[in-house]
Amino acid sequence: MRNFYIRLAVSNIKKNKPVYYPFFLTNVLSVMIFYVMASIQNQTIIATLPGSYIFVQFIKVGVIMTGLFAGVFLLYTNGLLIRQRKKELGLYNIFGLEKKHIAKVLMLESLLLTAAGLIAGIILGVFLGKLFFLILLKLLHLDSGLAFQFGIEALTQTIAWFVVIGILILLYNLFSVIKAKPVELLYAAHKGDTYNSFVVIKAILGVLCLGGAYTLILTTPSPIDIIGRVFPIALLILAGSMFFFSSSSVVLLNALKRNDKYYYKPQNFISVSGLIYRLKQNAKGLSNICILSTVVMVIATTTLSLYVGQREMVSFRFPMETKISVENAMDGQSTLPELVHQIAEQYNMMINKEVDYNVTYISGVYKDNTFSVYQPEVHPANSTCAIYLITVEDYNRMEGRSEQLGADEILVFSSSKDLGVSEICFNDLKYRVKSELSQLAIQNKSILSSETRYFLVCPSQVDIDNIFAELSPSEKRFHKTYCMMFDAEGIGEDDFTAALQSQISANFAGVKFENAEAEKRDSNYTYGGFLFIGLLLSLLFMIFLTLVIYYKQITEGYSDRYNFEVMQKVGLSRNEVSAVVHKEIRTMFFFPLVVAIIHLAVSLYAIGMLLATLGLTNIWMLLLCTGAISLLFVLIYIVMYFSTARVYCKIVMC
Amino acid sequence: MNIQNDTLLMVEHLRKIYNSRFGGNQVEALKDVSFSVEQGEFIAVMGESGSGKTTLLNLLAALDRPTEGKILLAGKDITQIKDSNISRFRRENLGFVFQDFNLLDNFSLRDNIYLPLVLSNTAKKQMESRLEPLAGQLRISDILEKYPYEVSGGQKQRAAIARALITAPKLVLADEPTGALDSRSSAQVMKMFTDIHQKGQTILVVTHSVKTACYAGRVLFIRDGQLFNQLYRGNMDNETFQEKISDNLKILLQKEGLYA
Repeated sequence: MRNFYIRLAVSNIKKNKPVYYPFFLTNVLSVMIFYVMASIQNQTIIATLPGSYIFVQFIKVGVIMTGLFAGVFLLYTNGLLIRQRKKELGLYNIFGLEKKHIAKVLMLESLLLTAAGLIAGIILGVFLGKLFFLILLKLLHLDSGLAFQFGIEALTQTIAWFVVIGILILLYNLFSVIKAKPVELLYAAHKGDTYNSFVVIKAILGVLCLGGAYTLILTTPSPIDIIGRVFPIALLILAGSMFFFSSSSVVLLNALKRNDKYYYKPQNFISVSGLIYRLKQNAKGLSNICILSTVVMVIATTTLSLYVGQREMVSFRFPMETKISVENAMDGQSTLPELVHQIAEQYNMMINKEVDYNVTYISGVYKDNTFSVYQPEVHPANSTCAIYLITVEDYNRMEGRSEQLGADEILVFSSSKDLGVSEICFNDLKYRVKSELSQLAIQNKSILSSETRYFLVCPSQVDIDNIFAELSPSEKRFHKTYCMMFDAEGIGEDDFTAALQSQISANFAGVKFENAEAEKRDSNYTYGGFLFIGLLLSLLFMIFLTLVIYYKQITEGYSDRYNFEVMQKVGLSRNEVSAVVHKEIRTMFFFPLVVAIIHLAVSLYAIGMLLATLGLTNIWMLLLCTGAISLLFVLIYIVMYFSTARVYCKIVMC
Repeated sequence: MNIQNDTLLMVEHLRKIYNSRFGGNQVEALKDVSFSVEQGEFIAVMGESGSGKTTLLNLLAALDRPTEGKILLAGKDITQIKDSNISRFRRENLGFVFQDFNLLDNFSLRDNIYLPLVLSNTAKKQMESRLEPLAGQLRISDILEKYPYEVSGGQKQRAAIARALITAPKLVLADEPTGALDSRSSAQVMKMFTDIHQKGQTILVVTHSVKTACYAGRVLFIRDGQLFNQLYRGNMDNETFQEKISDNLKILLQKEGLYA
């Protein structure tokens, strides 16, 4: 008897293979991606990399996201599958299988699918894991000879997670079978969608949500604010797309239907009415396709831009290659350059460009011509700016100029937008802006940068002390620093940097040593890792997307089949059927892609800001990455269109 | 002969052989069937399942091609029409009524009826002017905007008849038109066929129901792929004709040994 159930379970899966094989394949690939992520998280080499802390945190999030999305998605598609199979299960019921027997069959099916999915996914993961690890090493510029370690931890994690998903799916199936009456099971597949309710409300909600999301994006006052808005924006776009597709398709199609000239043409007649008939299913499929497409493009664009732009990000932060700053050490100013030159000579390094200056830093707030000190209780965290006070003497020295300032005159430089004012106050202290500088040797300028830095060139150290006294910041919110920046050139650069770092730390207290090259190497560990996670997540979502599109085509194929049979009986030739079929698929297939690209285009503004908070301010590079990603995506989408349209035609035409 | 001019459909020595999948067994579904249908005639073809009546209908409908023989519709041999023109030919010359209605759920009844005309690119005004009298006659004017799943079986079949008639076909072919209907709806639908016939429409109904066949002016009996015999109504009313058909069927079945 037990054997019978197993045979039944196996034959059920085989019999439903057009729907179950893709589902199974998605399961396998989800397991594979999860396993790869989990095992890369557990590679010991990753944890030892400098700057890998963020990467490790992100891959942890990536593992959880993969697991969650795989769970949600598999549950969702399983829901579609079980709906398709209700008739078959109802028949078993009528032929005398009790519900507990059906439950047994379902249980065996789940067991088989979960176990096989796990085994196949992990085997695939072990083999492809190596490949993915190589890709990661390549992205991180690490020695590709490093061995990929197979961890038991990743294995148990994967098994535990997907067994839970399998159990949830089984519970859902059991619940939906137990709940249903045999008659309902038999007729479940025949219900048509009557879906004209609440269209207006839905349309309004859709417009409000999307409008809200777009407004949130486009009205973000400063890059730092975008971080707090990411979540509401994502939610609004999700809900908005759903409302938009369910209402817009009703409105659009009904408008087309009312247009007699358009509607009563052979192809339009059949395709429009077919689309209206399946509105609900259609709208859901379309919004899923749209959202998945958007997610894939946003993830890929963001991570790719960061990877491509990382060197530039570092270069932006480093006007010169090395920066040494000594806190509260006015006395060290004369000896530091000397020491640097000594060491440079030792290592045969040429120092090309060099500046040194004293600077007083205050964490402040700028509003209406007035700088005041930043107070956490009063000011929102995103309103801070950095105030750097330097003397005109230092300024002239590092810029090679001979600027003269009057007693109440000041020069200003902003790292982002120009101030464009003629007067500046520090609380009650007033200065006249002699001129606004357009460039400064020690700071690059970009409109998009997240926190603005203001360099204020004062007539003398006395003025700086006065301003400082006027603002009177608390101990933590300011410091006086002596800084030196330089570019060095030569063969033994790495040795030179290392020696410099150790000797300067030995001679000075409170010293901070920053080097662009080292920074670039470290940031590559972060952004290479980002790109890798982005790659895996995009892959995961692409797999989901393919499955959604495929299911949409086959479910529509089966429901259209009868229609086209009838039409052939009434006098539609095969060629005409084929033309209608293609028109019907085409009309709706590219609609979500267009909306997804619009979403991406608007999101680009938010992505740009998000990247700016990380220091990436090159808009052209971002646009280039976006263009490349969307082009690639459209190509893949077209390929998916042709391959799934073939499946649809095959179902409908035979 | 004078009759020749009024003959709409001529079936001559029709033969159809089906080959089983591997070409081993041959089944002769129709052996040498010949008959003719006059312009404006209402004719029923009766026979048990397996007698060959469905094969005959498929051949008349140009859905299938005969192995031998000719089918002349208004003097044109439909077995010789090219595949590429056949759909158009059927659309323009034949009307179909099916047992299971074959209405499409995604169209309102009105659009279902328009379907063959839309496929021939007919202007909307013309479609409306054609539908109006038909809908009145078939008493479906009030439910034209409803969808097939919202109306009864009889109403569906009347809409399907309207769809068959709207192209003003030379011949309406009906395959068990009352097969899925209760007796009241059946009587109603057949009454409509009678009305349409009286307006001059040529109709050929294939059925195994005596109650359905008795509305026709002539009944052809088919058995084992051959024309067995035929009955003319003459001046009989429906009840008498029905009895006559029943008697005839008994003889037909007795000879087959089923009623022995």
